[in-house]
Amino acid sequence: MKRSLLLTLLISCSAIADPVWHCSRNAQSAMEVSASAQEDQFSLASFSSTMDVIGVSISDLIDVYSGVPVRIGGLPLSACFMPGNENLTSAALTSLGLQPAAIQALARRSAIIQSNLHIVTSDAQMLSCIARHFPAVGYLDEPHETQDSQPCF
Amino acid sequence: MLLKHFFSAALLLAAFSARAAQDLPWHLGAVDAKASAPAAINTNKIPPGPHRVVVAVIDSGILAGHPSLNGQLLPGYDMLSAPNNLRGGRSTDFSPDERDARCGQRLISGAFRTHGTEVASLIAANGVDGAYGVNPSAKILPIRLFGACSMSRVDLLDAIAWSAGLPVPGVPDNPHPAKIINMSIAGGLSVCGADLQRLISRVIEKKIFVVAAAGNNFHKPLPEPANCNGVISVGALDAENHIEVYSALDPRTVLYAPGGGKHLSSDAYWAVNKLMVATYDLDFLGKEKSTALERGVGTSFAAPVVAGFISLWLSYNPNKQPSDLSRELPKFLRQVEPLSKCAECVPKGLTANAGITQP
Repeated sequence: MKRSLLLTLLISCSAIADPVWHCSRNAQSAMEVSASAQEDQFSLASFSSTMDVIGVSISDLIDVYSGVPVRIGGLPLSACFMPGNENLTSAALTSLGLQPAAIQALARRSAIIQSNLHIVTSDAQMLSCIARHFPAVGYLDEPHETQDSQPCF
Repeated sequence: MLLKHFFSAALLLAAFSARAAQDLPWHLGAVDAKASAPAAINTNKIPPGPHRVVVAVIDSGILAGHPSLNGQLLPGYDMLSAPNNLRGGRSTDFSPDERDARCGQRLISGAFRTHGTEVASLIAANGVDGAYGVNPSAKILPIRLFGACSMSRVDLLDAIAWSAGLPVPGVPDNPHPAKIINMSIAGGLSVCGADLQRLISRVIEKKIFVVAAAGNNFHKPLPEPANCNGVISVGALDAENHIEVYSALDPRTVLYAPGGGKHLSSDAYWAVNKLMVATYDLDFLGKEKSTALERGVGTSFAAPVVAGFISLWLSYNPNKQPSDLSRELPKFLRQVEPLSKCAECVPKGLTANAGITQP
């Protein structure tokens, strides 16, 4: 009994929330988007779900975090990466089939070769990274909606 | 006329024999059944039956010049109305618009332009360039519904109605009504709207199958149109028969099919875990060229695998209707790895067998 209780406790302690993918919001006026009713908000199933954010696909997420260049509307897509939050980063990147350590090495190298992977150290920096490097994607452990970013899947 | 049919049949048979002799995309199964990917639908040894089946693809438009779709497309329609259509309004031009990378300040991935072409190829590609559809004898009815700008619910309803051969004001009648409608789309309302449900029920009464992607919402409930009654909603599996992390997770999901995703740790040939699709890529001069690539990832790509499977079944049994599928489905079901997150979800994968050819 004690053993199973301990096991349950251990599992619940190690459990982490699912990562929430965030994308840059379009520069389009907020009014124009809100005028579009939810019943009209459809997208291709592989793409981000609202018209309010840049249109990216799951495949784009996999590519950009692998260091493969992705262009959105002709602009290079940036990916924000938070290695300090190991549990969240591990959950986010392994869900894409990627190894956080490999991404970290890639991100360090990207500082030299001007690639589009950016390391951040906190949730606030993650949101700021997504805003600063438009168009960009990132992940957080809960949904945040700001003027420049919002959950996108 | 008879000679023409004979040559068509001979060409189809030759294409199928060539297809059976080589290793196919992993999602269709391997020549050696034991070497098939665990999630493969194993239609590779089942040639299309004698009946032609029309499958409507409501999507971002189809690039008709792709060699893998040569001879597979019927005249379609661009159902996107003004002001969302950069061409000014509806027309018979169902191809994607070259300007679809952005709408004003709204930016979209380049993958948007080729989405409809890729989806159609999973149903009916002829094998040229290495892209194989589940049923290369099926004919695709292309309906463009998405551009870079938004779309309206009215456009969606009209697209479904026209696909089914129902009259749409201001649009010429569809001479090739579909038997299956594939919608790799998601969004709208969290509960199926009365307008959409009414239309879908009417379409199903016409013995038409409606297939929709479950959506890539990372385990949230089904969006429209997958959440409407009677729709065959399709979630995504990886090559090893696990539900993909991005797939919607909902007890109402009817089927799961290969949808691809992250690279798998196995050293098997299916570890790439992406679906081979007919698509376009840029050459070294930056010019667009047709090709086939392992690029498909998402429930968008799982849905046409199921639409293709149903079309293959209908090519032997053209009078079957959606209620027959519900009854006969157990013949083709395979258990999929369940997820503890959704105890009431009963995940069902598809695998073909001789039953597909029997009445």
